[in-house]
Amino acid sequence: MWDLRRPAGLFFSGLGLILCMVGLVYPENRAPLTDANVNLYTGAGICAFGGVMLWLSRRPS
Amino acid sequence: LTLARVDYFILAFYFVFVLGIGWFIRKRVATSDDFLTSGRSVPLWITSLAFIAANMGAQEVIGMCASGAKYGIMTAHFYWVGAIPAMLFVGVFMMPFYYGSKARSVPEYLKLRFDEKTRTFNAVTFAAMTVFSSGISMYALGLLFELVLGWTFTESVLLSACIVLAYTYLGGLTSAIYNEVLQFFLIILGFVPLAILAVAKAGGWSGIAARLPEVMTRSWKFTASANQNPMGVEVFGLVAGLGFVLSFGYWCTDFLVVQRALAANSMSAARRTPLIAAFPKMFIPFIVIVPGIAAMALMNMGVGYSLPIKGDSYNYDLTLTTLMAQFYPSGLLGVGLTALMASFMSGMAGNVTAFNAVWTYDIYQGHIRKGAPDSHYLLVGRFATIGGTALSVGTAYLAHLYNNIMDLLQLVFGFVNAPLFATFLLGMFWKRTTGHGAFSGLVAGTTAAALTHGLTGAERKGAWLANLHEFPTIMAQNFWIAIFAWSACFAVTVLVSLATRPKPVAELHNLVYGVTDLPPTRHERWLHRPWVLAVAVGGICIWLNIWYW
Repeated sequence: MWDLRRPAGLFFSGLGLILCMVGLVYPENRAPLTDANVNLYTGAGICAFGGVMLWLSRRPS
Repeated sequence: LTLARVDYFILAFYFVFVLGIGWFIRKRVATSDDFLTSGRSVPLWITSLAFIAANMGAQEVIGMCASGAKYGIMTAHFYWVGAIPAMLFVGVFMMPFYYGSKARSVPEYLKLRFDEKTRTFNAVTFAAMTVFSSGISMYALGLLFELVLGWTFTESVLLSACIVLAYTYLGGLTSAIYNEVLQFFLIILGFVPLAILAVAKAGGWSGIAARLPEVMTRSWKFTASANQNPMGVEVFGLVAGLGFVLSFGYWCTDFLVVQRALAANSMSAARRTPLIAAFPKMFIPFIVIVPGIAAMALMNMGVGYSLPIKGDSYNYDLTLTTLMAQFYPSGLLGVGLTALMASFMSGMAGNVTAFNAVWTYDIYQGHIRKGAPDSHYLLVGRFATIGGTALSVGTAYLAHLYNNIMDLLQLVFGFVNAPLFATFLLGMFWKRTTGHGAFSGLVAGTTAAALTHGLTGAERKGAWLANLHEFPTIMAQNFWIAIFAWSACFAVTVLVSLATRPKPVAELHNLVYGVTDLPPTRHERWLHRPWVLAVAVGGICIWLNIWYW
């Protein structure tokens, strides 16, 4: 079967990078009830998840 | 909700990936089995996540968050009582018969175990249910597109139908399952930040508990009597109606979820699919229910958050989206909306793929054209995908016209799944059960459900024959409808079976407990044994119930 880990890893790494970039370029971008740079922190978390999926895809399913 | 360009970009990025998966998988679909059952070749971790993702449709994400705001942590009973025990049961006891019988669908198992009429009854009712369920997810997705993109409802429904149709038509069940896994991760990653932010803002769990009545933060303490809790159910109705009949009826007999386990690449993997799925499943309340409870605490804090009013109460259905608007800035808002759309598409695709398998194998091959070449059934499966999607568009319009169709759907589950579970329980574990018994039991169970609905009322619904009893909520009424339907089916099946001739024992091999050699698990590593996994999941689930008692 096709290994889903690689495309999933690429998708989430890409998504995480987009969020990180938004968080870095617009650090003052806030929602009404948040006072932290949630784009940056969430982007880093999603990026890390994508990285783990890519790393796992090097091993046989 | 006001979206920025980056939010639209994230949505587009996701849709390109979803369609890309269907495009890549299309080359691997050569036979009807590849298209409709994935050729029984999908790895365990994927079938496990697809097993719960197929269930994470619009009702799960938006509905559970709304119920969290309305009923509090008692809503978690839908997981800790209404899902986990049934998932353990299907993995440990029922999957050896589903997988071992080599049935390609749940109705086909009924044919092997009983007869053609029982299979057809189930195939037709199940096909109707999937079209309804898929249509409701499509309706919700259409409304979201309408809200976000500013399109008309028709354009929005057609766009959502086209996206799901494209990847299910190209890659069949495999494409749907692979996308469900991607959608599962997206739903988790998209909503975990919301849960963290909302709970932190409300002062953590202790802050929430301090700002709300105790009944909102206790799962069992107020269930001794129906009028003590906002859900309006007492412990017997909860355990017997939700925890036994509705839950086991859904998780053990609904082909939508069983199909994911049947796609696994071995008997061992099929048995472990619901058991492994139960691990993340029991923690999902913290992502979808707890934010709803936090929303009510935030309203009491005066921080500027409030739910819109609908009629004479809050519009709880908007809890999730209003929380996202308050806690997600541009960027993360795009991820949250994409996760929401993923959950709707997951619900739609799961139902469409279950529909096309049941239509092709149990209705078309069973009654319309037998013995045709495989390529013909592959074509029929693809056309069934188009037909199922088109019918779902029709039911989406029905949902648009009648805003109580969600209640109706829950009612239909009580009518169909509750009696079916009695049929399966007797069929798999009592070799004396006959085809005539099973069929008459199903008819009696469905009739009992209709009578209970006609003779009782709740929230101005039901009681179309006479109002002999008034339930405090529709939910309580649905639990009792399920209990009566199951009991009637069970009793009639037993009585008719005792009066009719059973199948010879030789024909029940791989279909009935006691005349089937269960697959040995001694050679497996202890961690892979179904019993070990079931005990571990059961232990954690009991602990969660005690913790939030």
